Amino acid sequence: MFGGLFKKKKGSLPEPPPPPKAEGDFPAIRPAHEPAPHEEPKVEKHSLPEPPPVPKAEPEHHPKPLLKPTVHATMPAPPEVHEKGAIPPEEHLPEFPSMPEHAPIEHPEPVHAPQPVHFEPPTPVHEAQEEAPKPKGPGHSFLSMDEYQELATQANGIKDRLKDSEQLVKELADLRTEEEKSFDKWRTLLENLEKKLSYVDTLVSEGEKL
Amino acid sequence: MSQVFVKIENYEDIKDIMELAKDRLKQAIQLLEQIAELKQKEDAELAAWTDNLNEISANVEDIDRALKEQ
Repeated sequence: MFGGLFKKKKGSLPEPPPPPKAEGDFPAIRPAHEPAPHEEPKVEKHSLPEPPPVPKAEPEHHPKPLLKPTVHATMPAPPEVHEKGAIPPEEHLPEFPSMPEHAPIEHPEPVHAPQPVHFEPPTPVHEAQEEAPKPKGPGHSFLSMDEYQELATQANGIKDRLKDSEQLVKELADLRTEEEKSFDKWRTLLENLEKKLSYVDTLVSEGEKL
Repeated sequence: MSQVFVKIENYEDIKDIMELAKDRLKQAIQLLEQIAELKQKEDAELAAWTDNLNEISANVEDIDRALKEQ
């Protein structure tokens, strides 16, 4: 009954519809000299207003210069050329005006080699204190160089004395240990002597009893 | 002749250290005096001990002599 309805018809398929025109695709490739048909934007050409008329420059009237040109039309004749070694004749040159008299220029003294600097020995502290008292600032204290040197020497002396005293203390400690050793030895000798004397005492007492 | 001054920083600390050094020096002097006194006592004791030993040695010689005589 329905045998012919669901049978596929071979060879009678309809043709596919044409593809829709893609929008936004790249334009077709064309030669370089050929302008694009739709790419050139239309530019409205406005008519520009005409510029105002420029006033015509009138030729300026230059007054004639009052000075005369220094260059002569005709060049003067060149000087005569003398032979080599020949003395040119003296020409009468105009004399210069006499210069006004000025004070003689003081020449600076010639520079000599630097002389050696002599350092004087530092003055004693009490003299320096008498000469310049110590400036007292609000937050800083200053000491004169002489006083500083004196203090430095005294500090070095104290350091040396302290080293000497440390050495003396070590020597005293060594002597103390030797003294204690000899004292112990002496004590043992005395104890031995005491024992022997007590023994002798017992012997003597026994002999007296007999 | 112009004088040159040296700036001292921490002046108060230096003063405190100097006071401390003075105190330590006083203590050291007192200790040395005490040691000298002890040394004098020690010397006196040693001298007394030496005298005792001399007496003991004299007594020992007397005993020895008495024993030899018997």
